[in-house]
Amino acid sequence: MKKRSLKNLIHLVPSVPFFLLVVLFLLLPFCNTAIESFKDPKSGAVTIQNFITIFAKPIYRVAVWNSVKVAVIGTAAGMVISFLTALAITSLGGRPRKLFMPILNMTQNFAGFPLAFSFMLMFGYAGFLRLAASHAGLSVLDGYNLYSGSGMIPMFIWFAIPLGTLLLIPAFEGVHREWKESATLMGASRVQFWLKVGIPNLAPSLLGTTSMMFADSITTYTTVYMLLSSNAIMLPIKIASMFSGDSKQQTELGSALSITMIAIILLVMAGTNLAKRKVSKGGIR
Amino acid sequence: MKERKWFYHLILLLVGFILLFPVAVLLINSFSKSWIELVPEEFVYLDYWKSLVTENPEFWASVLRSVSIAVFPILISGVCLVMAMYAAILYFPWLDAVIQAISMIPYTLRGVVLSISVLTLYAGVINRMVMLVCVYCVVILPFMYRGIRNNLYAINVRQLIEAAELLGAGGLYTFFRIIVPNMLSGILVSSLLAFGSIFTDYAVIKIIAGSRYMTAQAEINQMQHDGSPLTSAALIAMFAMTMMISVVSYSVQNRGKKQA
Repeated sequence: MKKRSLKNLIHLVPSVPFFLLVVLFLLLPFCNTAIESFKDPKSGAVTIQNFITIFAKPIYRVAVWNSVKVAVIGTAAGMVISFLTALAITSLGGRPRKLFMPILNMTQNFAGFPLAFSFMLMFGYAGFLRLAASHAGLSVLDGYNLYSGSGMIPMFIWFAIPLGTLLLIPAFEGVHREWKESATLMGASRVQFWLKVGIPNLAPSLLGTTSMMFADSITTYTTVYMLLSSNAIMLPIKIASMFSGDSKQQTELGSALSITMIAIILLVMAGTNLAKRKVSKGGIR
Repeated sequence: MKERKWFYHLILLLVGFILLFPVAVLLINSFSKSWIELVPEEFVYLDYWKSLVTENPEFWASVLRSVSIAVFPILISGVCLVMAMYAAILYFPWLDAVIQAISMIPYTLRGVVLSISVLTLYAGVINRMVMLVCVYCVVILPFMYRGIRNNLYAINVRQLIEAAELLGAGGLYTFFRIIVPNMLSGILVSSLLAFGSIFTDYAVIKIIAGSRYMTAQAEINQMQHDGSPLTSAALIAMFAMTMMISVVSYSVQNRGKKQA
């Protein structure tokens, strides 16, 4: 028996390249980053000074805060819009669905440089929508600055919509027409149906989509970089700038910032997982 | 019932407008002389496109660099995954859960953290290009895994293997002559998805390669940022290429579904 299982182990050999790749370029580097984040830049001793610096120095604190704020608002607004859009698409079906799916698939690829550039044309210092507003005597855009932490929120909401809607459509397809019919037969109103049946059943996908969206927003690099290059006070940009050549590399602090970002993402994931257990009633995945 | 339909149509109309507006703005800008006034000056102005196509060989060279840097990671990642799945499917069913869990990690870690981690550990030890290829290998794991896995579900591997065993086929033969050909469309779809994500990446390339390897994204970042129609044209060209990739992968996916 023992001999056989030993012989069987030979069949594990084909999986070696995969695990080699993962250990060398995922596991080891990440562990190293985790260790670096607790190192003193000068002496190399173990310290939590790097994390204290992040929360003591305004520039890092603001970067963390900006990123969290933009990601939270982007995710919340994105979820509401995606929910309504996915609901509308699955309820209408047919031609509207056929027309709308390509729009979602297309705009999903638009995030990044194209989106940032387009927003500059619309809302930049000489953006035409800004000009249009001032021509029309409207002051709605006067206080709006695209090149600021809060100014980027519209872009974050924008790219959350295709992502969220595409993730939610399969879930909405799982809410069966029969459920609605039987709920109506039993005298439930539409609002009651969604509160008691629809949303509890959708909860796992809603929460999963929320954490996906959040992770996507908080790690967004390209879109922000196009607008402000390394001057943006946002977490991913600050992390990357710690490692680029123009100034002295600050590996330890950069690692601590990365660990902070991962910790925030994991926290949100844990929160949504916990909520999933509380809210969901079996339901659709 | 009827008024609700009206409401749904309104939502789709509004969201559709919001989503398409920035795309239209970029497209219009690339076809105009300049857009610093309320309306674009001389709309349908083709000179910038002509200049992009004929006078900017460095842009097209950078597109080629983008394509070539995407090929190796997809090959390496694909081969590694298929081989690991071979062991998982035929001999160690528990291995599949491990591979899945690992393949999903890059979803959380993302490009920025992954590339700074690899850079810190291997700077000066490994060649930057090797580093770049290996980071991309890991970044695309979620796409690659999902495509391959979905396909395996669709073809019902267990039954295929049992049938092959009954007919006297060995493990290797079964895998390469029966399972892999059946997985091909899945592998193709995931490769295309992975290709799209590398093609549009800027974070990894910026952190690891800096200006050593100018991909199309890096080249675009160096172009004028102040509303230049030439930059818009380059962006639209990139966007069109990404779209083509996703259209191809979408049609492959649909064809695969019909067959299954």
